[in-house]
Amino acid sequence: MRSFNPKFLALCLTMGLASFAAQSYAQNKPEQCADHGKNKATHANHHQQPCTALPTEMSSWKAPIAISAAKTGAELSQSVVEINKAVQATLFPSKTVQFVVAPEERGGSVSFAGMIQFDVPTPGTYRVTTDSRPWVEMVKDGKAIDSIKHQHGAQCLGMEKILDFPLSAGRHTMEFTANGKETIKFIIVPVSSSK
Amino acid sequence: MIKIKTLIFTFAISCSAVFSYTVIAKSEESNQTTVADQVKLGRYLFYDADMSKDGSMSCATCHRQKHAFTDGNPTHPGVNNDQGVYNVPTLANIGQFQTFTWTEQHVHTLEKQALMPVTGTVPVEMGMFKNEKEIEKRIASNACYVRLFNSAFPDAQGNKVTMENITKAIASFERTLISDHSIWDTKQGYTPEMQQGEKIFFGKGQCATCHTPPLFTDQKFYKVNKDASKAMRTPTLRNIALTAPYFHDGSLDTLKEAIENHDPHLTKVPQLSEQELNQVIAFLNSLTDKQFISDPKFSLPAEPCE
Ligand code: HEC
Ligand code: HEC
Repeated sequence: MRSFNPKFLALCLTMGLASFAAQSYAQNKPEQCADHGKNKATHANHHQQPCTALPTEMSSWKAPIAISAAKTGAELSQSVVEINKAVQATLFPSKTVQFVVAPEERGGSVSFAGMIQFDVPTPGTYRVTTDSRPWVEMVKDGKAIDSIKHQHGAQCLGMEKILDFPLSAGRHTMEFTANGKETIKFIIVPVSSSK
Repeated sequence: MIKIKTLIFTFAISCSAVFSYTVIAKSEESNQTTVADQVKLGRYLFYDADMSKDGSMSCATCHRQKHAFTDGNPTHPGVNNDQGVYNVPTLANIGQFQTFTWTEQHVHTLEKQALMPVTGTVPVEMGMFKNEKEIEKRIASNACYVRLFNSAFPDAQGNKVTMENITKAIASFERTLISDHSIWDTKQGYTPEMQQGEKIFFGKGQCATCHTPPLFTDQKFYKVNKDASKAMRTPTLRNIALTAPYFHDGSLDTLKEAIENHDPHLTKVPQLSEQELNQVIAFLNSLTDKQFISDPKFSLPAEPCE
C-alpha cells in the first residue's frame, strides 16, 4: 500500500473519465436521432404548436413595452403591467432579488429574476406566455397559485413557455426566477373557455 | 510471579481491546458523519441550478418532490429548449436500483448517472458538456459550499470541489430518498377494493412477475407492446398515482391506459374486466407515500447555501 504512484492514479482517472465521457455521450443518444442537422426541426415539431399567425389578442408581442422588473416588494408598485399587452422586462441577478414569497425554484447564481404586478378584472383562466424558460411563481395575498396547464410555445414566434393559471379578480404578483437571460418578454391574456 | 504475568497480560489485552474498539467506533462514527455531510451537501447541489449552463435548471427542475421526483410532463425540454426524449422517472428508492435509466445503457452507479443530465448532448438537458470546470468554479466561489466540501470529503487531497465529489455528494443524497410508508406498507386506510386489487396484482394479473415488490420492479427489460422500439426497464410502481403521464415517452395519461397497453402475448397480462381494472388501480393508489413527498429532509433547503 505504501508504493502508491500518483502518475498511475492520474492515468487511471484520465482513462476512466475518457471512457465515461464517451459512454455517457453514446448512452444519451436515442436511436431515432441519428441525424443531428435534422434533429432540431423534427423535435421542435414533435410536441410544439405548429407555426401559425400571431393570434390577434397577442399582436403586441412584436412591439413590447419596456419596463424594469421589481427587485423588492417595495419596488413592485413601479412594475405594474397590463394584461393583453406584451412587456419586455429587465431582470436582476437572482441572488439580489428579495421575493415576496419564496419561489419553488431559486435559480443559479448566474441566472436572473424579478417581479411584476398586474390586475385581473374578472376571475378566470389567464395565460402567461414567455420568450424564455423562467420558473413562474404566481402570487396573490401572499400565497402561490399553481399553474393548471403547461405548454410549449411556437418557437418561430419566439415563444417558449406557456402557463395557464386560475386567477381571481384583483392584484397579482408574478415572480420570474431561474431565467437564463437578463431580460424577459411576456404577455398575460385571458383564456376563453373554447381554448 | 505467574500471577503478575497473567495480570499484565490480561491488562494488555483489555487495553488493546478498548483501544481498537474506540478506534473502530471512531472511524465508524466519522464515516457516518462524513456520509451525513455528503447528504447535506448533495441536497444543496440537487437543488442548485448553477449545475446548468444558464442557471435555469437544477436536478429538481425535472425531479420535483411533490410528484415523487418526476415532473408531470410527458418529457422535459433542456436549457436550449431541446425536446426531451424520455419521461422523467421517479427517484423513490433509487439507491436500491442496480441499473439506471429506462433502457439498458449499462449505467450501474448513481455517481455515473448524475453526470448524464449535466453533460449529455442528445438531448441537451443541463448543457454543461465539456464545461464541468465552469460548474466547479461556480461552486468553489461560494464559501458555504467550500466548507461543506471540506467536511464531506475530509480525506480528499488538494481541490475538493471536483465533479467527482459533486456527483458523489448528489448520489449520497439520492440514497436517502426512501419511500416505504405507503398505504400498502402501513396498511392504514387499506380498503377492501385495494385488497381485491392486490389479489389480482399478485395473481391472475401477473403484474408482480415484473413489478416485483418491495421496489415493484424486477429491474429487467421488456417490450410490453408491439409499438415498443426498444426494451424498457420495468418501472417501479411506487407513488405511481403521482407520476403521470406514463410509459417511457410519457404518452399515456391514465393508469387504465398504462395497464391496457401491456400486450397479453408479450407480457402474459390477461384481459381484465372493468371492475378488475378499477380494483388494480385502487391497489396502485395504495402505493402512494404521502410522507415521502412531504418529508422536509428531501425538499428545497429553506435557505440557499450562502
Ligand atoms: C431536463 C430534465 C432533467 C434534469 C435537469 C435531470 N434529470 Fe434525471 N432524468 C431525466 C430523464 C428524462 C431521465 C430518464 C433518462 C433515460 O431513461 O435515458 C432521468 C433519469 C434519472 C435517474 C435514473 C432513474 C432511474 O429510474 O433509472 C436519476 C438517478 C436521475 N435522473 C437523477 C438526476 C440528477 C442527480 C440530476 C441533476 C444532476 C438530474 N437527474 C437532472 C430528466 C432530468
Ligand atoms: C412482462 C413484464 C410486465 C408485466 C407482467 C407487467 N408489466 Fe407493467 N410495465 C412493464 C414495463 C417494461 C413497463 C414500461 C413500458 C414502457 O415504458 O414502454 C411497464 C409499465 C407499467 C406502468 C406505467 C409505469 C410508468 O411509470 O410509466 C404501469 C402502471 C404498469 N406497468 C402496471 C402494470 C400492471 C397493473 C400489471 C399487471 C396487470 C403489469 N404492469 C404487468 C412490465 C410489465
